[in-house]
Amino acid sequence: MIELTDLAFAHTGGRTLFSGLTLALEPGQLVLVAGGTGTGKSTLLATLNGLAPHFTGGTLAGEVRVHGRSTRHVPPRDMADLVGYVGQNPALGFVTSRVESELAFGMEQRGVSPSDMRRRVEETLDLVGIADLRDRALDSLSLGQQQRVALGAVLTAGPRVLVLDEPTSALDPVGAEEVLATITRLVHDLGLTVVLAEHRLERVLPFADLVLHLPGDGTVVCGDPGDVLAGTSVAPPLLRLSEVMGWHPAPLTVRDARRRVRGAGAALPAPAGTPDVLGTPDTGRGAVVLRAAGVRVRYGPREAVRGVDLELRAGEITAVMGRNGSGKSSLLWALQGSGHRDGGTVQVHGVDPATARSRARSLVALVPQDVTSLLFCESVEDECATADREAGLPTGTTSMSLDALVPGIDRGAHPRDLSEGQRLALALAVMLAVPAATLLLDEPTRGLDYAAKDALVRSLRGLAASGVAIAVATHDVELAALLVDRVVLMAEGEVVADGPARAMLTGSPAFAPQVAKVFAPAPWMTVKDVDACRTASAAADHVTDHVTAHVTAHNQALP
Amino acid sequence: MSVHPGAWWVWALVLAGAAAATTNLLVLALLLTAICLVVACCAGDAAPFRLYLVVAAVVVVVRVVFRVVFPAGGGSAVLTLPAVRLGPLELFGTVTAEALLSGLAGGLQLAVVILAVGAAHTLADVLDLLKHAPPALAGVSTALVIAVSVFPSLGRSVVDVRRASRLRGASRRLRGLRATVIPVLEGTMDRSLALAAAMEARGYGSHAATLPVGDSGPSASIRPGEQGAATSTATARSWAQPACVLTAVACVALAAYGLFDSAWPGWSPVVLTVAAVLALGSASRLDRSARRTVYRPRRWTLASTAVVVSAVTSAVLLLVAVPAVIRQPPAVLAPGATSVTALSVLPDLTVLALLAPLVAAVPALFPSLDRWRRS
Repeated sequence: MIELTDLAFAHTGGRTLFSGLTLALEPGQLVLVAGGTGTGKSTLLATLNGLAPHFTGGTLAGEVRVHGRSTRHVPPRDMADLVGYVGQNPALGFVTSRVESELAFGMEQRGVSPSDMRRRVEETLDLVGIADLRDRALDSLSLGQQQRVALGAVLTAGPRVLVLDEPTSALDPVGAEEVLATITRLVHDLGLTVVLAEHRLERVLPFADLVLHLPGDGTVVCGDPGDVLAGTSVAPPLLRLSEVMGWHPAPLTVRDARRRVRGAGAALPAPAGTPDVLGTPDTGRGAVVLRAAGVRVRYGPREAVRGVDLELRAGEITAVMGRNGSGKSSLLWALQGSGHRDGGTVQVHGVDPATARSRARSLVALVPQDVTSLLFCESVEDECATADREAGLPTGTTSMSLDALVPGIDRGAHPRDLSEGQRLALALAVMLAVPAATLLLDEPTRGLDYAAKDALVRSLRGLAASGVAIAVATHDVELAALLVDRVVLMAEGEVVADGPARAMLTGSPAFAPQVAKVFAPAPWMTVKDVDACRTASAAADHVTDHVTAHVTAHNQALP
Repeated sequence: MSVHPGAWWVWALVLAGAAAATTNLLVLALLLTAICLVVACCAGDAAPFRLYLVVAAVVVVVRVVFRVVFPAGGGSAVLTLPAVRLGPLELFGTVTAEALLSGLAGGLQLAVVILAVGAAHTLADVLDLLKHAPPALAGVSTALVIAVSVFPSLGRSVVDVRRASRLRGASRRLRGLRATVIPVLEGTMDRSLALAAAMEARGYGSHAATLPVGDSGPSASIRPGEQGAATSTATARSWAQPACVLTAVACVALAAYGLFDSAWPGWSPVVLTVAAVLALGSASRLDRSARRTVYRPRRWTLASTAVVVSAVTSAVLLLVAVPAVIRQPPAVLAPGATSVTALSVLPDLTVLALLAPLVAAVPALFPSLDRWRRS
């Protein structure tokens, strides 16, 4: 179906992203492209329909043939009937304003007869499961629905190959599952070849037949999912766990891993997961920094936040979790004071940040979802200098704190040319040039690879240790497991649960990290937990005994 | 009863034309009422209409205030303000009833035109209408479709960026402008590139239907000999068509100007409109190779015809059957004229002048007709 022959690509004036890639993909395969940010995942995907280099520029060596058609001779637009391509943010590719007309747009342009068009639109609506959305306006859809509409819009051309760039990165766990279910149905029922790049490998890995790993040194490693990724920096929690536990071959699904825990229990050294080894929850001890009561936010007739009470304490990191559109962002903006608030009070050290004007920044700092909107200078150096001037600090202070967050960022680079992780670090450094009592982050992990997430966790931990109260709105459960002390769960604009991270994350079916799912109901969330317990356990008990012990303990702990 | 979007636009433009030829306050007010009535009865979501209402009200107020600030000759004085001299300009002074009335009539004329366009926008989806453009104009209509759908996101990104820049502390210096303009422009650039990439990947402008599957590329393309001849005519056509479309747009703009400028001869809007139609017609005849189809085209129903007929009847009644002295009362026509002896605030009205604007409100009955037929 897809034949890559000795493929190499370099951006104009840049280094070679990958070279010597020879590969043949069969129909009906699901191929996962993995790698850190900036390793060329997106570029590799774009070569499959010729967008690279026809559209992006750059130099391509070797050849890409899809169904015998070579991207050397055929422009991307003439590949549309073979390769369907959905970019990183599907909403940016929408051409019309309604679901049905979006699906029909491509066919209208190619002059498909009205009766064929009607039939194909109906088929596609069912295929991607959006028949109930057909009359909706595109901007009223959730991110997961938008992703499925974008899938439908390329499917109407009848492609044999689907190329998807990070289809689930921005989605909450439930939305991601819906999109992945749609993708696997296309692979199983229609025999489409799907090539997708993803940062959230834990979501996609169980479905992949083949993995292409780009380690970032110009090579491409290709092979079985478990073998290729084990031991790399992008390995998802389950693979890291197998490494710690010495499982071989590594289980790729939570179900397999569970069986391994139960079946091979006798051969395993027993993790003794006692609370004192894991550390007692660090919640409710610091002084209250931010106190919000009855916060309401309304957009027209719709109430996004309905009477939320929240306290953020010094030194504590809180995750605000919930579906896309559950009011997380609106709440953070209302807490900061620059978003509007229709009711309730917010007090930081006794002052309402909404009325504090120029002082608001020192009370609550907010890093928005799209950090590029914060940055407006032409270079990193200029940006740091502006931040110093704004804060009245000696020149170089922000630059130094940036180095403390992520070292080695080129000061001459344009902020938009930085990787996602570097840009986030820059925005953090700029925002924190004025020391703030509270730090709020809105979806900081969109587009971050595991290494960048680790860096983020380290810097936020450092800030918390210096007494800052931190709240992070996120649906990245693996990040929450590593980072936070406390979880606030929101639904329909209300706080539905609030408690220590360990109890909240291991107790929720939708927001449980992989490790927690494997060992449920034991209270382990991260590979580090399991490792700590293993080393701490002197007695070589059976895992099964411990699991039963934890079931009892857990049941008693539940209210 | 579904009405074709084109019918609503014809209805609105005909009414706007009729209003431009009327200065009778009562007739204009009736036209205005008719338009608002139709929107209130037929529109599913009248939210966009609110903005047009506000703009129309502002226009009327500005026109009247203008007449107070810049006095215009004699007439019966209503109010005397202290005059202010600014070089060659004299501001304020005596405000005459004629001046006020002519300001009000001019404002109402514009208000009817604005509300008519607003009604068409509210009642008929612009995107839906553009879809029905002739296939040869596909390039232009697609560009317009994209512009109309993408424009709101530009407004949203301005709001987002301003909100984000406030996070860095509100400073009202030049930096504030820079902090808004640069991220918005950069974001717009990024978005346009993403849109272009998506359209390219989805086969916009493709000729792939002629490519057999499995071909090896060059063999499928046109042979070099034919290519030269084909390209030169294609280039000529690709220039001629946009030229025709631009001519049409220019003619429409000039016609609109001619409609309101009394210095232009009365036949000029008509001739310019005909020229615009001819230019559009030739543009769509020039290139008939375009393969573009319409997904679920809207049918031209009986109701659509009724909508067009109602507007045309109303306009014809107003322009032909109503005497000019009623349609354009002299007091309003020439604010400077002192010959008017008895000026009444309310102009005269005939039965036909009363009925004509109301005919345009006939489409307002459609929803209730629908309900009656169903029960």
